Amino acid sequence: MARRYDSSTTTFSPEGRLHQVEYAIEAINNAGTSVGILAKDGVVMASERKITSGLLAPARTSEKTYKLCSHATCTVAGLTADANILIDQARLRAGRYEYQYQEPIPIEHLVEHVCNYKQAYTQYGGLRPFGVAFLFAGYDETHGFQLYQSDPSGNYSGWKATVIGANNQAGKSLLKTDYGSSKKEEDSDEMKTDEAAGPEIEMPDVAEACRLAVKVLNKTMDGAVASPEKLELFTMTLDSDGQCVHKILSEDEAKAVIAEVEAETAAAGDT
Amino acid sequence: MMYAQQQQQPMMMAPSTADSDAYSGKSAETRHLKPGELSTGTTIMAVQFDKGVVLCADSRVSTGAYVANRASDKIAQLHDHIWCCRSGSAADTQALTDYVRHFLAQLAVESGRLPEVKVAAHLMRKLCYENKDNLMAGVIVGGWDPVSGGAVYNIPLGGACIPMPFAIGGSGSTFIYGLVDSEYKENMTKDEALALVTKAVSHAMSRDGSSGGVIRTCVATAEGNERAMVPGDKLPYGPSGNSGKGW
Repeated sequence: MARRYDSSTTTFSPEGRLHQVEYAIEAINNAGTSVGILAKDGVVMASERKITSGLLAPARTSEKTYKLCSHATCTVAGLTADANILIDQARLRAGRYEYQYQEPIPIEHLVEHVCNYKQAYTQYGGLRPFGVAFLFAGYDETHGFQLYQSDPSGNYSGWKATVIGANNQAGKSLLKTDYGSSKKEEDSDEMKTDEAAGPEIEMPDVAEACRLAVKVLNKTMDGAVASPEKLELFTMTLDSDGQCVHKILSEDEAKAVIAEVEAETAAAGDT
Repeated sequence: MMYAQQQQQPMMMAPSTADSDAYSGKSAETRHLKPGELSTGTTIMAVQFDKGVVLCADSRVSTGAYVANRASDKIAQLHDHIWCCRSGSAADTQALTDYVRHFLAQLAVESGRLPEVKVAAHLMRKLCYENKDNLMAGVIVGGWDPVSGGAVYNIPLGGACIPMPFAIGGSGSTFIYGLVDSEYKENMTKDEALALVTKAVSHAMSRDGSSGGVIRTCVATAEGNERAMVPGDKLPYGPSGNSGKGW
């Protein structure tokens, strides 16, 4: 029954669904996984690099992680070509905002701008939606460090930790148990705690968040042990002058984190 | 006032017909200014040294005989290691600086690397040349980049772009051409370069009525930037004492 109503973005199905948008969201589930984790002193985003051929020229730009402006970066899951268009939009918006208002763009404004752009392709013009999901990591003065996820529909939401791309369900369930649990087993499965509800969720610091991100990727990458070529670990922190530092970990640094995670899992006896 | 504000936007506006008042009667210093317009009658300077570039400027902003700001900052940051010294109309140079800063930021994000000083200078020059009818801006772009090291580009009124080992600009520069030509040497150390610029700008400030206030310096190198200020009563040369003491 969906057949008759799924070939055009601009048509609702009788059940009130936009099938093209849903198919676009499905497309992303075949893409390399990306996990984002909010820490108390920064944001960590770890991504799986799907294409690792020895014949590939050494990348001058990243396949997964893109800097948008001095205080925001995003990772991509989905069609890289589609992502490039949206990243250009985001960069222009951030730059023009800062030129006009002489201050850095608030992260939610930036995310909302990209999402509004995506939404237009679900409503006008008969063009297909973008087959990309983003994780946005950013810092602004009002809200500190933030992590947002957006998908082809143009919806976005803020997260403490989330996963997009292949096997994101498995990743999310691991985050539910392990985020902020810091070795306490009880009370660690409820993610949706607000600030008033007490100290069950303790935000990790960036180092801990890196280890957790690698752990999640280990799980989503079908048990294949993460190695530096297959993974891109990004951190955003503040330096002593209050400026954002965007860092993609070097091969050695990534190896060190992977080794720490292996030691932890071996010691804990998990499979 | 509305008319004056309109005139001061250099980009995107059709060339305006010349205001006939501007060329008659008023003093030589303000003839080129719109009513109420601020000028950075100025001394600016930038000098290459072994590790990078030293930029230096006075701090007086005047409208005719009135000093609108005696402690302004004429050294503007275009990017992490790239700076420019501004002279001429304050509004014009501020607008230019804002544009170039915006373009450089976009370029840096898209290319993923530090922009070159040459690129910054050419962006500035493009704006100055293509809008030359509506602008009164003399700019010196100087800084450090990983490709060429330290570099200085002088961009005078018409929009030429000239790479030089050192450059001086602004109304006060006319008084120190001889001094700087005789004292400049290649591959100075940072302290020698700082001594040269503060001495030269001091001399200019003591002779040029449109230059004065404090001396601001900025040292741009691979490691980063160091900004400093020499207060008006501690100048190495000038009527406030300390004359001839040097650095």
